Amino acid sequence: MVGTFVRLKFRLLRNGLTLRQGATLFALGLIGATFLAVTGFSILAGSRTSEEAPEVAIVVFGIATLGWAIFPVLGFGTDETLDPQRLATLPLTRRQLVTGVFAASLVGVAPLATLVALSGALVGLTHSVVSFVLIAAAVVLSLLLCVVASRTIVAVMVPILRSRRGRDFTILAMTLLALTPPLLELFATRHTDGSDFQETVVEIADRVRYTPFAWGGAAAANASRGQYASAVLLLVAVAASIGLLCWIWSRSLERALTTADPPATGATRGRMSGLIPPSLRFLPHNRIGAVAAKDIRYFSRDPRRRAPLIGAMIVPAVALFASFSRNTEQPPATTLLGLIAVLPAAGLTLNQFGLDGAALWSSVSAGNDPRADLIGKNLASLLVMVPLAGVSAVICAAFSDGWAYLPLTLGLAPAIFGVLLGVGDVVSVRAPYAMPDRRSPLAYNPGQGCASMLAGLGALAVQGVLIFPIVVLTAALVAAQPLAVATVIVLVLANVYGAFIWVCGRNIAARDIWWRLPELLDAVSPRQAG
Amino acid sequence: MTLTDAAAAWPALTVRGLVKSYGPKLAVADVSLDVPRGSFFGIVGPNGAGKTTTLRMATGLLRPDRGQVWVDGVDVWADPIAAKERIGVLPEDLALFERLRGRELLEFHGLLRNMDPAVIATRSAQLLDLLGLTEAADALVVDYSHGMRKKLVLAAALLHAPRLLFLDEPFEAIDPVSARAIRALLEDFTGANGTIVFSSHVMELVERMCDHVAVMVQGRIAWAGPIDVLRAGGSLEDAFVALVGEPAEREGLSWLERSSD
Repeated sequence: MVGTFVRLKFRLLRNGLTLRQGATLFALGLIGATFLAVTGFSILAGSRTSEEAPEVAIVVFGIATLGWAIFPVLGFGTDETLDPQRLATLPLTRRQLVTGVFAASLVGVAPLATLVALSGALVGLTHSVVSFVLIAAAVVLSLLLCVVASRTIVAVMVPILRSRRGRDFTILAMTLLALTPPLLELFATRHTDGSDFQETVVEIADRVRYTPFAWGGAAAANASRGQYASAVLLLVAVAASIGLLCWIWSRSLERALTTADPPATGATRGRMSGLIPPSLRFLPHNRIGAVAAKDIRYFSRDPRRRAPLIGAMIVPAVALFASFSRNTEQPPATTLLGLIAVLPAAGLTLNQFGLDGAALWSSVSAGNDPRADLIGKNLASLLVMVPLAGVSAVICAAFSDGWAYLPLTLGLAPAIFGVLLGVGDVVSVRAPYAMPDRRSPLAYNPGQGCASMLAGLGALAVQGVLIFPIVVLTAALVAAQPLAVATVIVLVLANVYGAFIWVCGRNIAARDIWWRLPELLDAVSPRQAG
Repeated sequence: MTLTDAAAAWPALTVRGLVKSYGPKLAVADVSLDVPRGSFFGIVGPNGAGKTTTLRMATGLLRPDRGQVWVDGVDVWADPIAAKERIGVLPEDLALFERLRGRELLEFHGLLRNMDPAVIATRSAQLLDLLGLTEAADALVVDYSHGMRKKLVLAAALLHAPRLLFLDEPFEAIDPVSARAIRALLEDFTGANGTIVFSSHVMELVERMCDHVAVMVQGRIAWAGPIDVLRAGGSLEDAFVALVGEPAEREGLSWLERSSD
């Protein structure tokens, strides 16, 4: 039975490779895994000369286990052998199912990469035959722990992950996770000077040493120091954890297989106000208003759009924080940093129809009016992003006492946004592409090729170039004139300029796409996986 | 909507020489059809015959490689706005704006066509009631079942009172009670001189509901005309199989037989 599962996994890997998008995905995975394997191995092996080698091992083993525990939850649905539901109709005992899926999980790029990475400990920590054997056992047991931990967590969370809210949460979590590296870097540069990096490692190691995540690494560390008895004890603890997790896994697997998906929620709380929210009564009750209201609803209900909004709040905070970490005194012009909040929206403007996906057919079949569609979409972005920039400007002003710059900042936001939207509209109709399927945050779509990405980068560059005159004008006038005078002149000129770029871009885009709506629909509809 | 004399001389739908290929695969090869006004017109055919592709091209959602389509004499590909005002569409894949509530989605469809908000509200309430969706009207579409989504799109397709309805597999995944409600609704629609073009695999349904039928095989129309002529006294299924061709004689699965003890 175990052989069947392992062969199934090999077959799935091989069949995945024959699909064009599968091969691309596999190649991307392979590059990432090779990078992690080489990094992990060289850190562990390279620490041989360092006194802190055992502590390094504890941290690396801990990170590996933690990564295994977290990532499959976020990537639920990307591995066909992950979802036990697919095996539900087969007459398998729980033991057969657990051992089979466990064995199949050990086949793949990620387990191999983990094994290679952790094997670095054999080079970095071994000092005797006994320590070699113990460290080898620690590596193997840690790998098993990684795999069984990820499977257990997925099985326990299946009921949550299968629900819409659960999937929404994973999409949001993925996006926020992408924001963590710059934040971490910021904290790292603030709190350490680099020279005491090893001190930090030792500190972290001391804290995590006794958590189950790091037991494997701690065993290797103790074996390396010649404390064989405690190493053996820790290995036994890892083995026991594996046993315990297997038990929990098989119990939750059974529950996952015999419980139905959560039913659709029929009743909804709150008053129903219609498509156009009461706060936006001023929107026209026509096609423009419909598209704008729909997009605004989507900003609050669709995790794919909510995420950039959260980014819009975080990015200025990071910038402000970074600027504070350099100097204690802030010039009042820091208020202008609030404008950075509109930048995450620049990415959203480049594929405005792609966010609609295949549902765009309803607009196409309801008559050709891309101009109204673009105005509606632009209006929605403006109504959401400009207030966000305003909030962020107020916060920046409060920190730097730069209230005098607040009118200038608030007035520049729509001007900059006009430029972003003008370019975004043209790119949205010239280089549209299908967004990943909503069900899986890691799903990959063919068609979203290199060309779209290059077009996107090019568009960002164009947006930057077109915003540049506003920057120059603002800087020049603020330097040469009293602030009040500069504010009035800049606001008038910048907004006239922004509006001009927007109208030009929108008109080009609308004229361009009028006869090509079916092609646009085709370009933004995700392909059926095949 | 009243018809001008010129438009009244045309059939509800006229298709001439439609061709569409995907790479080397010819999906639709030279399809021509005339759908009489007020008829209930079924397009039947095996999987992959080109039914969905034909419907998408006829509704302006997919550009044909060649050929022309007229709705009430209006060229769909030369004057898309006028043509789209006359038609309602229920596509096969049911991609929807899922983060809208059912009622909001109907309002969205109505406003896209610049309809009066009061008219949208009245008609939406009636359609939701008729299709048994009132209770679910304030839930997000993402939480709807397949059958509910189909009914909701049907409501959206009818909202602007089109003259011609295109329905791609309208009864798939619909429970018998809802199917009855939909049938009654569609019969009212054709009774009021509306025209329906729908595709289906289910012969019994086509036989019961349609007065005209077209049989599509491998991207071509194998037969089109009044259903009674095709049946010629027999069943539609027999006539269909005679046109499409029956699979070769095959051996039974003897191992499926069980002894009675």
